[in-house]
Amino acid sequence: MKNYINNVLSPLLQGDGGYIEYLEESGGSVTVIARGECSKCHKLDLCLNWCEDRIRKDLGKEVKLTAVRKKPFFWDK
Amino acid sequence: MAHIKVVRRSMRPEEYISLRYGWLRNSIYGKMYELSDVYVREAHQISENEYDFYDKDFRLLQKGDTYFSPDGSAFLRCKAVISEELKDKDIYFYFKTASEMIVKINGKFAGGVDPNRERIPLSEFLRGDTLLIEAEGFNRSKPDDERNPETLARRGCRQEFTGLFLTTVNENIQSLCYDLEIFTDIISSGQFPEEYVNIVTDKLDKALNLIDYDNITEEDAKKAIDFIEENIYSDKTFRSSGKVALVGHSHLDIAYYWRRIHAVQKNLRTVLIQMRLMDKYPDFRYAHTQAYTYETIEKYYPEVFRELKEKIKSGSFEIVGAMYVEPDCNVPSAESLIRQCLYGQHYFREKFGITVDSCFLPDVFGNSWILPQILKKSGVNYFISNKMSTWNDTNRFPHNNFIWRGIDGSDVYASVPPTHFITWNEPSQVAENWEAFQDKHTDTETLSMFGYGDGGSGATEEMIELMHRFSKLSVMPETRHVTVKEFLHDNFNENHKFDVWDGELYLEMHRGTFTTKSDIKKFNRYLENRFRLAEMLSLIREKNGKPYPKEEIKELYKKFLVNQFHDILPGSHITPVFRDCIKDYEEIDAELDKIIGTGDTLFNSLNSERNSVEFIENENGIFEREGKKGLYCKTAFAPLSHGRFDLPGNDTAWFKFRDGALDTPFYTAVFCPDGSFSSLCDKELSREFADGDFNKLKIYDDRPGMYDAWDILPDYKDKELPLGVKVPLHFVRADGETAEFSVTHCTEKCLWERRIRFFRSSRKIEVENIVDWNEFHRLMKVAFNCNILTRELVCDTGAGFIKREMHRNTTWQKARFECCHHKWFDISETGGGVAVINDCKYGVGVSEKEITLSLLRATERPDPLSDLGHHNFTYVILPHGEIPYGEINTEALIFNTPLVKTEKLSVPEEWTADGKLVLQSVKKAEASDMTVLRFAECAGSRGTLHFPRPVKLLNFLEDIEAETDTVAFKPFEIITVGI
Repeated sequence: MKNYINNVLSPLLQGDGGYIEYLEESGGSVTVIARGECSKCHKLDLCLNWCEDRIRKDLGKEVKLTAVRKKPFFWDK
Repeated sequence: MAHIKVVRRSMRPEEYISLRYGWLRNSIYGKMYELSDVYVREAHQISENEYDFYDKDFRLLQKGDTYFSPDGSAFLRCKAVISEELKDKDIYFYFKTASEMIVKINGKFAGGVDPNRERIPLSEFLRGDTLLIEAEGFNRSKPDDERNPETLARRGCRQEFTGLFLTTVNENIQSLCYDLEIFTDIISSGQFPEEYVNIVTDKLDKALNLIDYDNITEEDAKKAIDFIEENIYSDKTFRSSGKVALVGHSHLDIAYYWRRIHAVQKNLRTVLIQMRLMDKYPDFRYAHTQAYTYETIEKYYPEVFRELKEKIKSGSFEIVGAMYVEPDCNVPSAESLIRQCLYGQHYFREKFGITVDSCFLPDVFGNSWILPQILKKSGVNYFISNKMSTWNDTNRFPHNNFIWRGIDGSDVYASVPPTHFITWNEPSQVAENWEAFQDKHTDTETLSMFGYGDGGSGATEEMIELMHRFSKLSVMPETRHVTVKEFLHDNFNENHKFDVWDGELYLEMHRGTFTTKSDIKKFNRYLENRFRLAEMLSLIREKNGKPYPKEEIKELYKKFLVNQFHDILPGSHITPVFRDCIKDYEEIDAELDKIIGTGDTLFNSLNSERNSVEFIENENGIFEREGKKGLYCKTAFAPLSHGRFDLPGNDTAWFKFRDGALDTPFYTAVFCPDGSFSSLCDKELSREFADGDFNKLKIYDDRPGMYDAWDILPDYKDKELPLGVKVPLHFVRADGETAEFSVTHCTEKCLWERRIRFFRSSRKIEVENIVDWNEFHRLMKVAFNCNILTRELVCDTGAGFIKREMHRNTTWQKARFECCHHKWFDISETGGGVAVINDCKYGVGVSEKEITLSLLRATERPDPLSDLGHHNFTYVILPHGEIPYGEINTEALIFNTPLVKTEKLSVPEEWTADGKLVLQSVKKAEASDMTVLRFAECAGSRGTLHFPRPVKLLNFLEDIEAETDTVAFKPFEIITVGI
């Protein structure tokens, strides 16, 4: 899961100036850190739904993704 | 505690006008006919026009569905039958989207829709009553224009599908909206006289009162239009002065918040949109830069290229900017900038029969002083670049239309337009441009550019419609829609009133771009030298019968030049752009390796003598430098020749080291535990060189804000952070030539080893840095406080040197606290000085006393991973007596151009030019069998080159200008000859 999120999904988000990083997994819940453009994106939840779908298709796992937003200091108002 | 300011008052007239303008905008379109059978196939783009599809086939896409994915593309397809009600009408395809769509109608490229455009006229593409609509969409978090609040609200990797429609346009309502766009801007901008604004507000209110907003009709809109015509446009009471030239363009970053592979579609969309505008508005002219972007159209969309050629021929579509891409103009070498012009101009000549006489760089982060000469000798007489006027953080750049004098005395006509290069052609923007224009005494027009940019797309219908109304507004400056060429030729030729700016075009901003993305800058410098070597060796070998790989080198060079684009090489881009760039570099390096080959003997590719101490790879060597084992040896090589080197013995008695004090044949030095020198006393010159922190690493908090990768703040020194010493300076190893010391610094996140090497036979002190860098918002510099009284810092520009004032007498010096240099900088007084030579660093911090070399940054936007990881780079401290700068330059060339292993080679005598000038490049001519030699004067001297037989004097485009056996040169001149 960590490898898939950091090396398969995150590079896709980096293509939009975003960034996610695996933080922890507990039961069916996976938490990621969202930085860059993701940290302030209005549509992050929709995007995480898509990521969950990819995880289901590629890893065969049902998970709920949650993001901890870490905004750069200049956006963190 | 948060407070909301509550204002209790009735609606003001201008607010009511704005409200009604909104109602009218909602009535621009007739009945919307939704297309029902829309199918989508989603993908991830993996290369130019190559995709990994998520879906095996197209699937139905319905209004309200979510589509697009992170870094995703979507292909839409829809078949439709035109309903009876729409037949014989001017039908439009309507699609409101935050993505960027290229649209094909019935198999033909019809145009584009994107956040700034929502419709495409269909009549030209209709065949019968059936329609096949195909759209290729690309979705970015960063839209073309960040100032559009509507798109900002909708941005994101995933999008809601809002439906495709066929519709008609209510032309009168649309036209009235254009009028309202003009007058609401005039009312709200604060750019026009208050009295006039009051009159416009009053009359506009009256015009809008002619409309029934419960049932907005074309007839009512026409009444309002007529009223405005008769009562506002016809009022010539208020008059402005000034002349503004309006140029349509679109700024296209080849990579930025998107990868190079995506620029292919961005560019196509832009070109299509602009060509469709030309069809609708025959007077419309549009300027487009970068030969590379024309190449991608030619390669991937030949049918569009054919149309493009016609538009260029007719004069509607104008090629501007002689260069291959819009490169950074600080970091690339002189030869790289010459190649930008050479390959750009040759492409334009070959495909369109045009030599472009303008350099068009609206967005670059300052311009090197070497540029005027390069432009002038590449057929370019005019230079346009915007940022100095609008982005400077301290001083207002004093000119807009002027003559720019280069380091060698070459002059080009220059325009630094007073306002931003992205405008949407609002009256206030045009008026502001004239107001800000500082060269009114020259009786010239000021240049105002319009069109969306960064991600391309350019002008809109609205911008052109507004422009067509400007002539009716006496309150505006006189405007003229022109090509770039018309603006330049009409205003600059035969005009002798221009002031001269003699110096670099330093941008008082984006000073961090000399340092951000260290790996890219290191690879760029390395490959610049590898290209030189590959061309030289290929030419030598051609004489022995091996074919010169002309096309192969050209293609590799072009790939390299793309990566000098002004958001790639400076480091202001997202993570995947960095990865693409490094991958390109590795591929280029591997191919150049094959061309360069190897051999049994070392060859000096410089046309200067080489008597130095150099690292020679040797698997039994006791030293390790940049991951390779070897020995430091005394070298003796004639120019462009093989030579010899002396293996050092084992006798280490040449130096003494005790309690931090070092004694060598050249110096007595006292180390601090952190590797800095509290004293560096030159025995030969009997003088002390250190005066304070010298060779001391300093780490600073580095938080410039939004423009994180771009900027370093003027007060960065105010927050210096502690830098620990994990392993204090200690002796490591030595032989008969070299003594190596090491110190390891640390923070919580970073390990930084410095290997400091003193030599028995050389004044050089080499400092290798091996770094594991995991910092965040930090800037690392190495500081040099020298026992030297001078007010001038001398910096290499890559083709000559520039003297920069170190004092802070005025705001101009204060603003230049961080500058770009190339291989070396030097501070000297009569009798001696200290030079610092680098292999990949460009940022130098300037102050009255302390000079710093910027080593690494750790920025977060646009790339959260910027510069993290391992780094290995080296600089050299070179204390010296009174020597010409040319000698420092030679040492820097030796340091940056290692000896290379080859077979036995013999080089023609002409190539050395007696060592008077630096042999910058030797290559095969692009269009003939000539050998092209390029020499650069880097010492600031004057003289004459004598060749044993007549040579052709060439410009940088390799056109023959004269034939001679003697060529006079002046300081900092770059001379090209053909043999």
